[in-house]
Amino acid sequence: MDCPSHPIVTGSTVVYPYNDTSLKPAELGASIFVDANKNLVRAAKEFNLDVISFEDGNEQLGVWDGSTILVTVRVILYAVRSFLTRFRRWERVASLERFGKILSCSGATATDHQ
Amino acid sequence: MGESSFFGKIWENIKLLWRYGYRSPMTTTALVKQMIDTYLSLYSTVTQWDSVESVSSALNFTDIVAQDSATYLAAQGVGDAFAYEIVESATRVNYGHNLDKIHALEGMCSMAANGAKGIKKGNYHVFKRFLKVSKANVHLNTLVTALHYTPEGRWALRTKGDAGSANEVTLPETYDSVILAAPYHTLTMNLPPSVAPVVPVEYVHLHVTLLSTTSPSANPEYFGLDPADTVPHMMLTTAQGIRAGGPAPEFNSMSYHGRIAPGRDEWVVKIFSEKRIDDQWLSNMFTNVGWVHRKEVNLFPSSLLRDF
Repeated sequence: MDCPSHPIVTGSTVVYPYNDTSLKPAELGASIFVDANKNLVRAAKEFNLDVISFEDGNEQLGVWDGSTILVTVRVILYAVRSFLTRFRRWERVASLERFGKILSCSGATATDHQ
Repeated sequence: MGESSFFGKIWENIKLLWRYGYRSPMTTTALVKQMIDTYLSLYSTVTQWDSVESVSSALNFTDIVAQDSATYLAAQGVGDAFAYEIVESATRVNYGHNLDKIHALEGMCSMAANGAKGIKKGNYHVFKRFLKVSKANVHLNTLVTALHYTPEGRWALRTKGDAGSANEVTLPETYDSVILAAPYHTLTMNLPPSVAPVVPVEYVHLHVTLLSTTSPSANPEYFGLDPADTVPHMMLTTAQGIRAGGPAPEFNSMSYHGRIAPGRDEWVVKIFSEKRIDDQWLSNMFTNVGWVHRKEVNLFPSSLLRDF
């Protein structure tokens, strides 16, 4: 295989479309790491490596069972998180109202650390 | 309804809430957070361990590596629809496993995608820099044929092919510690009997197909959609169809990974599958296929349940 990358970590190799290194490299294996991978996050920062975020994608995600697309959402974790945050806020408002407290908008924002 | 509009987003949330309820996604999120918080403690811990078993036990992971994710989620009150459609789509794309065949720690890890990122020029740059900064001596294309313990209590290595040498030689350096960073059963080197053998681990065998296409979307008809519809750019899969006696998805995941160059209407697509994806399949899925690169990989161990 014509591979310009370092063959040290076989799980982390890129290939270039048409073997043209002027094009965007594509990861063959492990394509992402996350915030919880603190050493990788720190290494990327200390080594000054350009990082691409896959979080703010507005892309659609579907779940296929072999015959039907069961569900289609915008990147699922984002979607789940955004609706959870919203509902958590509602829940908090609802429970506070139950205790007869008055909640100002700014208060709601200040207590929401999600 | 325009999915990108404000109302589109609300509509999407209502759809999800309707399908999965409130409790299942909430509980899953809480379980993932709990797992991550425990895992993060590793970065600030100075304790040392002698085995994977003792790390697992110290982090209280013993229970969750001993049960499969399906059983675990059900016991925590997560509904089947959310577990088998959402969490399973994550376990299949991340680890090539169905929900009932992956232990709960790995299952929760599959859902931990907060802050997903990659190095623009390739993640291998991180490891390349690690080597450079550490000033390690790297011996590429060198086979270690034997390891032995010297009378001075240090490790010595016999190698073949070092610096182009055809003969088997003992390296002049000796070492305090040696890390075997390869699946144990694939090692061909002679080890002293004092090295305790590692139980062989099976690996998930997957086919990676990378391709470029000028089609902005996969074939909607393949997915039973209207020809004018756009197929989601990231298609994940569940084994729910197989469980109901239907056909297995022909791939584990299929995702568009952006343009091959800025402003050029040609995209890179990556497919993970259990079987080889042939050219005919590709040309049915993407009308115009440019470049194709296939590789078979054993990316991760088969996550059978662990008794530690």
